Amino acid sequence: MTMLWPGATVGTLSKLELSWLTFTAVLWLIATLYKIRMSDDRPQALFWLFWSVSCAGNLLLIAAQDVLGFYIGFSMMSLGAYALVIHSGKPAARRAGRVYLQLAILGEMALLASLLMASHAGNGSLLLSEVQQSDIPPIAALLLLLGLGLKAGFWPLHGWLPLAHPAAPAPASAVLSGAMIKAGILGLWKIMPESAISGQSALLIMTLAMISAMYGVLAGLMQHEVKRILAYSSVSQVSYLLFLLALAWLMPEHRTLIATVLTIYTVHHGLIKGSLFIAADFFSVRSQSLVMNRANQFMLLVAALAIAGLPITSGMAAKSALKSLLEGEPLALWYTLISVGSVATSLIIIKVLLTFRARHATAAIQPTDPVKATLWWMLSLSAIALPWLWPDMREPLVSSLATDKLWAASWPIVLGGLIYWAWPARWTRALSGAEKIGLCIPSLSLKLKQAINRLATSPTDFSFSDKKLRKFERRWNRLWQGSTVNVSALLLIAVMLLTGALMYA
Amino acid sequence: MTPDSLWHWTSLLPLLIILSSLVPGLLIFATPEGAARRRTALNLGGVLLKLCLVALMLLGVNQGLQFRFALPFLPAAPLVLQGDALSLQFVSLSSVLWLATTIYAIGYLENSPLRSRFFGYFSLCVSATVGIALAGNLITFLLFYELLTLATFPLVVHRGTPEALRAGRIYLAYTLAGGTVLLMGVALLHAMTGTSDFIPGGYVIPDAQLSTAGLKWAFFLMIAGLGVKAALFPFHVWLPRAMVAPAPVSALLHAVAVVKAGAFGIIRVVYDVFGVETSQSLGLTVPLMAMAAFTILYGSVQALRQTDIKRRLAFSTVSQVSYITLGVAMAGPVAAVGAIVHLVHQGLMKVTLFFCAGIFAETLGIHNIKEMNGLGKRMPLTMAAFTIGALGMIGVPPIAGFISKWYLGIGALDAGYPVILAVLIGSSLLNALYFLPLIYRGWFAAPAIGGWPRDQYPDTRFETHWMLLIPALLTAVLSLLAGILAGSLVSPLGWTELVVNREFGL
Amino acid sequence: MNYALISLTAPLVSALLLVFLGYMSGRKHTGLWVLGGSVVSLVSAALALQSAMQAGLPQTINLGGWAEDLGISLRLSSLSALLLVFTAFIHLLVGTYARFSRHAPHQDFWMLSAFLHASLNALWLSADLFNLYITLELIGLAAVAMVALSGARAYKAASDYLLLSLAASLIYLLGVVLIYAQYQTLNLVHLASISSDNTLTRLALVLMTAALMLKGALWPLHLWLPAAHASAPTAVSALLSGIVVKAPLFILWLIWTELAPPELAKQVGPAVAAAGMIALSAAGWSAMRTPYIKVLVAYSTIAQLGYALMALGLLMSWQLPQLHIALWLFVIAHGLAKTSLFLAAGEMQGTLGTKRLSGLRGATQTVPVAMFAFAVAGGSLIGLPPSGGFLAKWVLLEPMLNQPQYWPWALGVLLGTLVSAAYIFRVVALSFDRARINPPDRQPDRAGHWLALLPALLVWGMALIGNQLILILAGGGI
Repeated sequence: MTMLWPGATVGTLSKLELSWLTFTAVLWLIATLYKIRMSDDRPQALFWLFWSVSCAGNLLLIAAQDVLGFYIGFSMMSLGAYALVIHSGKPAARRAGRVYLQLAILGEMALLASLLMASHAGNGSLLLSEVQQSDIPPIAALLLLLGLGLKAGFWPLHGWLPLAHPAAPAPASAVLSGAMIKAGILGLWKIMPESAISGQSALLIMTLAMISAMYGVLAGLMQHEVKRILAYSSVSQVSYLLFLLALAWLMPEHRTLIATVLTIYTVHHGLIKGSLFIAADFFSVRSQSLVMNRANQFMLLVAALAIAGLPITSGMAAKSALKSLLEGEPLALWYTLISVGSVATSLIIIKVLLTFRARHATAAIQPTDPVKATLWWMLSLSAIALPWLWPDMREPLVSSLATDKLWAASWPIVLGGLIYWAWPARWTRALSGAEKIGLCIPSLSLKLKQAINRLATSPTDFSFSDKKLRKFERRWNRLWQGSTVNVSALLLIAVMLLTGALMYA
Repeated sequence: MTPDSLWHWTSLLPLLIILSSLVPGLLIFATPEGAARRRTALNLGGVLLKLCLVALMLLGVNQGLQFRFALPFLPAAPLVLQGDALSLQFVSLSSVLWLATTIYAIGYLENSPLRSRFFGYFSLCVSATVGIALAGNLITFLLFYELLTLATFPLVVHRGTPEALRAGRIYLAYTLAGGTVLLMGVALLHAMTGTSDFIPGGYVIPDAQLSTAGLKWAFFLMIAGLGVKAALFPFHVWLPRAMVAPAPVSALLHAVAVVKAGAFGIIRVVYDVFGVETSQSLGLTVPLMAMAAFTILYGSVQALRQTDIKRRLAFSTVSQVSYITLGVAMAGPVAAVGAIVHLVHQGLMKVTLFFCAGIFAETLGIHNIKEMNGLGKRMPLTMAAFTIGALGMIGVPPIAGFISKWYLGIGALDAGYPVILAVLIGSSLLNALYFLPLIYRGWFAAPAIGGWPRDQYPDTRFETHWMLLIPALLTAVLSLLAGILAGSLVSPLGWTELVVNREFGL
Repeated sequence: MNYALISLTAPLVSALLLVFLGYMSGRKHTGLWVLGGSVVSLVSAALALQSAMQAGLPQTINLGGWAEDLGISLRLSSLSALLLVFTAFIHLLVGTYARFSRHAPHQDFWMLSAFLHASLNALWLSADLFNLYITLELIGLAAVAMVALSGARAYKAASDYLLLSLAASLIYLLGVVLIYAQYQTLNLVHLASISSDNTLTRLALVLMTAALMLKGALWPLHLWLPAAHASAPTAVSALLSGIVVKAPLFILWLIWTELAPPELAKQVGPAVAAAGMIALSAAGWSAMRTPYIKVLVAYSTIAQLGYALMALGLLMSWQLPQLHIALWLFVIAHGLAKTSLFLAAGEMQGTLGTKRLSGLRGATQTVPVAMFAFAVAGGSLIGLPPSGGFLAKWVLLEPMLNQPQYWPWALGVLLGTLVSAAYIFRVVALSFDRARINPPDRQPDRAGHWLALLPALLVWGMALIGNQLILILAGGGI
């Protein structure tokens, strides 16, 4: 018996969870401090309440070793984030909030159903480690993928992501994209039993992940607003995490190794994507100092290219760690695909950078807030510093410093640059259809809302008219209103006859 | 039973628990309208005394003491009061919520007429509820069940408006008919098996002499009779109508007294009269489950259609109370935990919601969902309590409702009814659909330009009368704690597991 | 047995005293005389009950020492002792009400009520068809006279009542004559052992049954009752509905359980029970629709007699001893509840100044105690536990539910309960109307209201002594 909810277990973190917890906490902390420095005329109390709930939930779900704890954390995080999405109060934010909430609830329910089934399959065990050893039915696996996938936001479950990220304040987008969508991946890692995903399904998911990675890039290229592009980039990047998960299901014997790669990739992406989202706010003004501006721009360049796998950054460490898993004959095809993916990533990163530059050129000139600058720099510098501070990441980075590896890391960026430069305009038109697939979600959401509003009408009251009945009753009463004595006499005779008849029958 | 043991404290305690609200109730009837202080003293004195007695009994039952009080009544069917683990679950709930509701009602009815009558019946109502909880056999149960109808009727029609009278008539028509049907069932079972004390595992053991059809009829009649109060479809019609009653009454009807009496009765009939095995072997549980499942979904859909806050809450009750029936009907130990713990959890959450709805109506004249826009700024604490209640109903962790839902879900899988899982999830989705807009409006929507329909307490220290606010906050915190601390021994869940272990002989 | 005689004579003495010297002693004390007689009657009836319980078997006494078939022979069983207590109690209560309430009836009420009391006591103690006839006749005359106490507006109802009552008496007498012609005895104990199934007996039974049904206002021969009971003074209505209608029922029960051959009873029983079921629903419906307070209560009497009729019919048909108990429990529970209902209805009528139900709007505030009495007594009529009505219903239900082929009869009880609930709560719901309160004409009369409440509380207390009552009635066959 614990004091908290049944089966509550927190602690004995694995290395993966520990790193996860650390980067999440760091990201939340920086985002919190940054948000404090941001000027904002919206009501604050509510925002901070939900912010704290969401943060607590995020940390709890990482630390929880039991099903209920995970679910509690997950729900707190998901529902708390609703207030972050609609914080600005603008119609677009409210719309985004609605879509977010509807999908979040849907995901919650799918997750709850799958957790129930999983816990039941594990003989009622509430420990995640035991649940992961159980044989869960395929439907549970599917629901789990759906529930957590809706949070992770890979295609085709990304519907809320490109709406919510731009709507939320920049630090909120940073945690949404940096920390929260990773919770879906962590959940899948911690809960999904290996036995539930067959080799074929794993390959299917890997394919899905690659489609998603490409989709994110292509859809992102269609956008003009920097946070939206970043959101699509997240769709694309989270797909690599999904890919890693699927790889772990495909090759359970390499699970430990993949765990490390997954961690590296997640931490890298979480911090850098956080930094890029905060940059959306940070770069909305220009400093008076040219040096300062140049330095900021350089840092942004490095951070953004880190996502594309720029050598000697955390991005390169992550990419090469991923690729090292695919070396060898059977997975050569995937290796190639990942390389193609890197080119695509470079494309979108270039788009991001150009959009930033365009915005920054026209931004108002304002004195820089040193706290904001420090916070953003800390986050962005992690692209370079992290591999040297963190042994796990240092190793793949060092091993990839060989010339051929450096080349392997650089050519996609170069190629991406070339493609972007030579990009024909009609491709854009041809591709604009791709995003439409994602756009059906908001319209569906609106339809749902309208349908519900239609349902909620004043109830109709059934009224029953008894006029006819009353008329009949009057007539009936009149029938008996003759002389009591006469009628009674008749009835008396009738009773006697009847009794007699009964007796002589 | 020797006279000695009749007067032993263990046998008097159940009686005292009932008297601790009955006697103050009768005294309150005799209190002049103006003597508010005396009335309050009687009310609170009764509540606190009852809480102490209940605490004593909780300790006793936990240590395995037997509490049984018996009086001769009908031939071969004495009047029995007994305190077992299950009854204590209900007794504790009603006592605690009675405390909250009494404070609330004192604040709510301040300076309104006919308070002596109101509080008199209020106390009678709680006495009847506690009587239902402590009833040791079907006859005693029936007796208090009918008394509850009588005691609640004046509360439902308290406002005395034509609308209230109409609701009252419908309420009576349903509950009295239900009571009669229950009587038939009880009498039928009595004729076949005699009336024994409630025994964990049931006392109806089918053998060659008992006609199966008779047992089925008895079960059906009893469930139909109890289903009226438990608001099972199609017997739920009275519940949304009874919404015209003052808010404390609605709170009491929905969370503690009436609907719970029905649900508790179903628990007793299935577990302690027929027993799970007999119910199952007679094929009685599956139809009951289907009925409950349908009611859950039906209530939620209807709730979605309401624009009045209290009516929406009322239909939500229709849906939520059936969770209890559903859990019982699944006839497995885990589902039983879900059902019995939901008895408490639903009570805590629903009472919070009704308190808040009452505060909205009383303080700002808000009745319609549309008028809730921006409420969170004017009364943040109330709105927070409301939010906790509503989220709990949806099943959002870590609020109490989630714990019930989890156990019901696991129970459904354990008992081999995975389809019930779909019902639970569907109901949660519907719950979210009809509760989240309220929360959204309260916190995030901009207030209406014209201001509130009327503002009763614009300049008080708190956002509303403190006697209204405190109970709402108390129950909200309790529903949160019941979820977060569910694993501890003192939580409703902890006690429920004790109950279920005894019921299922685990 | 001697106590029973005292109980019988006490009211008789007070009636005679009133006749001879009552008006001399001044109007003020007339009521007290009668009340004194009732107290003596009640105490001695209680003692008689105790002795009857101790004796176990019925005791017989022949007045004046004549041989059994010649003189007046009285018989005391525990049932008749209980009925003595019951009658004396109701009389005492109604007498107290009549004496102390604001709505005192006419002075002649006292003599008539004492007379009625004596006749009723004589009826409970009679074991002879002819004696029964005499007492029935006396009761009828007293009752008619009492209805007429209301004055001119009651004359029509009283004369109808009188005519039908006389006709019924004659028909009954004809039946008695047929029996005598055949068996040369009218003593029921003898008849029970020698009666046989033949045409004349059957004819006599037909005549007597029809006559008693008319007298007892059993459905469908109840038409005279609502007018008579509703127009009588409040105290009289209470007596008539509470006890008087039970007298013919008592005789009906006697002839069908003692005199009639069991086979015949089995044949007729279902029809009687069916009549009871119809009475429950038809009269209940009328009660539900009538716009007058007292008429509602009067119809409720007819409906409630349906329960008794059902119990009797099923007793005839199944010959189960529990049904005796059910029958008499109904009679007692109904008597107490109905007394309370009529007193409360009368009080409310008087205070609110209207006969119409719609005048009861807001009665919970204007006449709270009387309304409470009405509701509580009504609860017993509905049969809500733990009232006396519930006890009776339970005892009636049990044999019905014992055999699957008897189950349909339980529907009658179900129906009866629902209908009673409908008409009682029609009034109760109305009384909670705060929007359109009917203001009272005068201050409520506290004493009268509390007196109306007393029997209602007693009938709810009946459940506590349920087992003792059942014991008394079980020993009380004949």
